Amino acid sequence: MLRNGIALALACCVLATPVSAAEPHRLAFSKRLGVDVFALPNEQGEWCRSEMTLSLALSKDSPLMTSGIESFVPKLGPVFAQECPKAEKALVQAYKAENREPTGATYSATKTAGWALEKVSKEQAALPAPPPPMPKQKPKPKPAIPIASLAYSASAWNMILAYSKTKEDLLADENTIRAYAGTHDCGAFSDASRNEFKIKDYLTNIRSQLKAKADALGPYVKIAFRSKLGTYEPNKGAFNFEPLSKTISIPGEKEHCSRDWRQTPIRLFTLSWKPGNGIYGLPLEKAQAEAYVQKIVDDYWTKRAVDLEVIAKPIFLPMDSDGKVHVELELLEARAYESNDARRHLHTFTEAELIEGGRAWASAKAQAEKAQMKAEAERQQAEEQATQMRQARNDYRRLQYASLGTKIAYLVGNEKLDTLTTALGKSLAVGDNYPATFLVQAGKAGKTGVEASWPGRLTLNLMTDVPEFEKGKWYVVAGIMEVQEGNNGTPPTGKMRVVITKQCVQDMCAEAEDPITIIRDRYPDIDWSPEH
Amino acid sequence: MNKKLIGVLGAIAVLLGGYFALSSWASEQAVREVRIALLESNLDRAVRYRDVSASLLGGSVTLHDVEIRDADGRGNPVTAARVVVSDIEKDHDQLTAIRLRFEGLNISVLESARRPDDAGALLRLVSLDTRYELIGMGYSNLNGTVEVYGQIDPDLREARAEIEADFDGFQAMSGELAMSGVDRDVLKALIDAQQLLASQSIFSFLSKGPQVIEAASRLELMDLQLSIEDRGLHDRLQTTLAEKYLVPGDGDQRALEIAELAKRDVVNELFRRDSDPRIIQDVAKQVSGYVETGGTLSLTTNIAHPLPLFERGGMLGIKPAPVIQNFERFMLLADARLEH
Repeated sequence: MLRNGIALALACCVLATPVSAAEPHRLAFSKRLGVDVFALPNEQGEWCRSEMTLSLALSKDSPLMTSGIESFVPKLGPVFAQECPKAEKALVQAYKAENREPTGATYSATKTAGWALEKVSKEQAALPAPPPPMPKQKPKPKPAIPIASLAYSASAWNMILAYSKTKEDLLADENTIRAYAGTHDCGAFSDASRNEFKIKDYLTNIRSQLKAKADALGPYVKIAFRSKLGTYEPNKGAFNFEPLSKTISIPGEKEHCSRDWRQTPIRLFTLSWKPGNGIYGLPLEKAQAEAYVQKIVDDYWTKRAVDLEVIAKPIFLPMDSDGKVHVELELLEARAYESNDARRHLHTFTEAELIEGGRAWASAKAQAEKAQMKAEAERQQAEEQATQMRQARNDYRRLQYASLGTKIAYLVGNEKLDTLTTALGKSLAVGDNYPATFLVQAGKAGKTGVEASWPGRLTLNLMTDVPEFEKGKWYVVAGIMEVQEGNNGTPPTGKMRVVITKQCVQDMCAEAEDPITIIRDRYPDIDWSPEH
Repeated sequence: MNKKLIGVLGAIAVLLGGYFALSSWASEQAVREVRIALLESNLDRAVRYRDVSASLLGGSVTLHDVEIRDADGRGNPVTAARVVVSDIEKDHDQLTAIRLRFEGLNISVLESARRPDDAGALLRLVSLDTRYELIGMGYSNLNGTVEVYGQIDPDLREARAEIEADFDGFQAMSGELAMSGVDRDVLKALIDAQQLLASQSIFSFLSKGPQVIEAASRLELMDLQLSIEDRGLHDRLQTTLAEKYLVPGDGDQRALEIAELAKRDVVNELFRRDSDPRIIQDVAKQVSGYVETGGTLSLTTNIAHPLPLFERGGMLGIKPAPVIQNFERFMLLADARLEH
């Protein structure tokens, strides 16, 4: 049904083109049902009227020949609404397309009745809808050159030669020529390479041969490879099959007689499929599928796989510094054969199947990538949580018997709490910019110039965009110290550029006494307890 | 009348001239003596001074603008405006007693922390963290007076040392030490021991080691008295301990809390060393009392029989005696008391 709808809708779009006044208007058609629907024009050439005259031309194998047109015409309602909104009523007659003879009664249908057909009386049928016109003979298209005849086999040297068409200096490179001769013309190359009087002409000759070979290569490449077959899905009428997901490689040269074959500037071709056409599933009749599966089970040499032969248009990308050339393949044709038996043809993918396969493959790939990303995110989260669990356990071991100062420093992620006296002394000795962590009580509210009423001798300046200090509140602060030497032996004083603050809940941050609380505060995403 | 006056004035002039002449001669003599003494004691590179003067009436020699470094002449110097050398006694040309008074002494704690590798032997005894703490308390420079007296009786083979130190705004300290088994051979062996440790040479150890071991094994403690008195450190130490123990507030209540925490630390430390609980409590009480109120803290001993400081054994052939190794043993055997 859906296919019918699509076909009809497509027909509407295609046929909504101006036609000459005398010609019937082809309103819709269905290949599957073997029917063409024509609206006949009046004398003025108008086919779209409040009362239309419709002729249905049925092919000889049309199922409507036996089932009748009663259930078909009401389905044209949306087409009428779109193509001819003013149509209220129609006179309908079906004919055999081959001889233009009526197939049955004449019907009338109204929009108000949902275009349901009603037989008309003989009197009313005095003016039946005339038969549809004979289809015009279309000019025969020129026979297209088969794509397969323009494709070359995907061997390493064929690919190199095809690539040389886009990279002219490749064949100018003597290493390329020597590499070819070392694999394809062993004896002659071996002799020539030892004779300095002949080698130059020899290489020139080989270069000419290669150029001619390159010129003779067609625009397409034929690649054969084997791919695993999934299970058969009766609903889809196809095997699960994703041959384009696997990495395919170009076979290299197996024989060579000189080390020069290694000198080819291209080390490797890497292949990927261009988005567009694709293969996703192997359509096969159930009986054929069952037979093939049985063969796989019975015959040891037949694997659960399919040998594919695909023809694609290669798009060569520039060679990278490692001598790798990446090739994007635009899939054009594909044929499937039984594994290990290229004579047994299984399926040839139609253009529509390749388009649909490309869509389905892209969609499946997107879903798989999404699932993979989700799984990766979940794995990372689990890993992070496991890491946090380990850290929490280690922290607990360290903090269980640690001093209050160490626990307070933990609140801001530092190892230990400094004493102001030592920090001032160290600052004076080693210079300014000494990093330190203190417990302080703010002597006043503000962001800068806040004197610490405890431990005293310290002025705080907030350097980050954090809430300002509140008078009398206790904080753990971390930052960089600057020191001012005291006069006449009085103790030095300090200024701190505070970059991290944490306001304590209780005086002197007494809440840090309990290591479990502060560890849970640090790792809120995990459900940690000392028993873990 | 005029003749009498002229006679008296002449006599005074002669006496003054003689005195100045003698003083000048004595100072020249002192310069020589000091130089020889420093050379003989291998301290000629360690001690530098601007000049030397001698006082005939006081019977002393004074070194001016003195810098004292390590024996090899390196390290950050401790400086003194004057070092007065007096009460010198000799027996058969050998020095048996000497008193040294360092006036205008300056110890730069800050410089020693800035260049820890050049801190000098004296300040290397103090950990770097403690030096940072002293600087943070405002003691970048310690200024004061130190007097040291040392005496050796070759016949009784006994040695006695006294020290009095007073640092402005910081701390005063006095101490007395008496040891037996000390004679010139022991002193020479002890100097050799210092060189042995410095050289770290197996050949030196093989040649001089036995004498050093023999000398050290004869050393015995006869008396030890130590006392420290607060000159201003207490208040600043209170602030530092409040930061360390995280004690808020100020005044007596804070001092009391800090003293309790200090007492707890002392008890824990001594308990870790398996000391006698009565000694632990007594020592902790005296220390916490000093931490709370300052004042004086003194260690007195009442040694009935001299206590050996070293005994034979161990890898080097000699090792510290239990009286040195174990605090509890020291307190019991020396009948020692800590008092605040």
